[in-house]
Amino acid sequence: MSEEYKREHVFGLDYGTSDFKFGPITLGEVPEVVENRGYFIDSSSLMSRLMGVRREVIVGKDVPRFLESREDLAERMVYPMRNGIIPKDDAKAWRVIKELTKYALESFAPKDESFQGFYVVASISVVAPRYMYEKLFEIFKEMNEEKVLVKAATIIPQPLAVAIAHKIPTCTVVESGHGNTQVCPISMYPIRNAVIALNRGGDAANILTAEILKDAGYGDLAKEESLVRRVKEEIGLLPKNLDDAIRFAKDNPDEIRVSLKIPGTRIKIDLEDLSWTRFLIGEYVFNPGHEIFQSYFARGMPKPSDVKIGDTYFYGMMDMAESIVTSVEKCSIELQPYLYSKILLSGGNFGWSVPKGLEQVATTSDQKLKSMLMEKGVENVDVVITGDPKFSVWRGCIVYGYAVPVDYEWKWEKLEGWMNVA
Amino acid sequence: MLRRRPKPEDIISALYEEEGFYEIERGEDPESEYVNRLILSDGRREIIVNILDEDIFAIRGAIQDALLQAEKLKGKFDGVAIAIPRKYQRAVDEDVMALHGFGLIIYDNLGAEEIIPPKIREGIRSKKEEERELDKSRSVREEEIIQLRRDFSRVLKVLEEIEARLDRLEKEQNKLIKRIADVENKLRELSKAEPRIREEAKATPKTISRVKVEEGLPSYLVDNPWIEILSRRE
Repeated sequence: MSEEYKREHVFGLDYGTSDFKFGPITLGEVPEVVENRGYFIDSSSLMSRLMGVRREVIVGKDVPRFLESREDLAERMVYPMRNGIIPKDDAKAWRVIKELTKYALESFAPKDESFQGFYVVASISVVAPRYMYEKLFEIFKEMNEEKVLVKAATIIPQPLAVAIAHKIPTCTVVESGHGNTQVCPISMYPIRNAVIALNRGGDAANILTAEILKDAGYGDLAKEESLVRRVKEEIGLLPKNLDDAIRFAKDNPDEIRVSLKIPGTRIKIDLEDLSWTRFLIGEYVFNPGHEIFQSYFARGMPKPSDVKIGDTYFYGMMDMAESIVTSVEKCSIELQPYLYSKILLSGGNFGWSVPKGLEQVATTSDQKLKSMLMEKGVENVDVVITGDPKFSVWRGCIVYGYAVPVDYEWKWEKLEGWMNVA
Repeated sequence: MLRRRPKPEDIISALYEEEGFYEIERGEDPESEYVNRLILSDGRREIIVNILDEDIFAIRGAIQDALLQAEKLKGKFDGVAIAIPRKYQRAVDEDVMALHGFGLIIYDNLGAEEIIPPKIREGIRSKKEEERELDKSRSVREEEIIQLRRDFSRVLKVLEEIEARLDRLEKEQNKLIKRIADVENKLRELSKAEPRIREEAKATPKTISRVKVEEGLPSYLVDNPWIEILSRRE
């Protein structure tokens, strides 16, 4: 197959913890996005019979049309990549991944005869174990059962894709998704031995937000994950210094108070005198070790714990700056200044904004991390929040597929190259 | 107004002008009372023409005197010629003249004609030149030779350095040419891919609103150093 054909048929798949981004190179700047989830419908239900559904799993934009009661949601809705790693024997999760992959490829497969399959570049967590690679390649092979959809495939770690999308060959990428956070130094290749993974991401902040909602009297709403996430994103704040911010909030309650109306519903959320807790949400992402969170843990809020998945330790309570320092210090001393000089923050977990009037106490992720690193004695730091963080990984996949030569075969020792599956 | 009648010297001088000679002296021969002489040169050689007029043939012994004087001149000039009036041409034996190396010119009022060219003695001149060269080389002092040798070896050294530099420059130039060729190839490939991406974007309804085709390749592909890095994977 020619290099030219490959370049025209590169297809990116970003299996994010929350969203699944996909599409061919021809999409240009922005991929298609659906939630990384699948809904297992009750084939015996009247609804599925009425709609003539033959499928067992629904993925993509059709999912909301098939949702049933809230109770069923928890049981039937599967988010396969919640912490970035799918257990080997989690058949339901792998089933959703397969359906999503098929959905993505079929959405864009050209009908003409000259089409001989896409060159698929999939991106998964840098700490994903080998069996995930094997399983994904197996899925890509299965895609060709009816019609050739995948000519060849490759899998790259998400932090590498971020660095590629942002055109930086030497840097430290901090990718914080829904379920976990990966710190990965990169110097032409990902430095896998120096990767640090945190067992917390956007979901940890969601859990805290749910606790705050409960305390504020919205216990019933706290069960709805998408609503909790929305509350976190709309009212959560990242403090410059948590103690100063709380003091400011208590001295100026009107400036910090906010109410959130959910469009299309009667729901209106107002934290009233607990509005100061808005600062806890952001702080928890960066530093869950602050003493103020002890009261939440004491009341039963699950504490992010250290876990070992495969060969990787996921640290629960390590603060964000500490994780970067630990990771960079595993690299050669000569390389360390370059890794500190460009730190890329990627993923929806870094999207904290500063509302007007709160500039004195609230901050953004890059500034927060910069000051945390300076406190640890790291100088000459440049922290950058990636533009369009949601799409960075997909863009990196496209560049990777575009550039890697078509005859560069997959190597398990390097986890690089094209695996021919057609 | 009557035209001046040309002298035999003028007529003979004109004959030799055609052969590249120019007149450097004319007048009576100080050693002979019967003969006028004309000295000509082409810058390298000098010839002398002894001109005998009509009257001389009426004087007993004058011709012998003229020939003997001419014989003396052989040592001083590269060539010696005798010029006689046309009507006395038979009075002179051409073979005898040629045997003795004299040139023979006949002349009248209408012009002159070279019957026998004078024998040019090149040896004399080249010997003189050799002597001159020898004198010159003698005048170059030994110190100057040593200095010249030093200068020469220094020039050789500089040349070697320049040669080495040129080698290096050539290598660098070749590398640059290769890199430019690579870049040009990539540009060609990119410019080939661009219209296809546009075409496919048009062909796939879903993508029409998404690709800003008029802006060319997606921003993350343009000037991305990773393309060079990844394309070298092998």
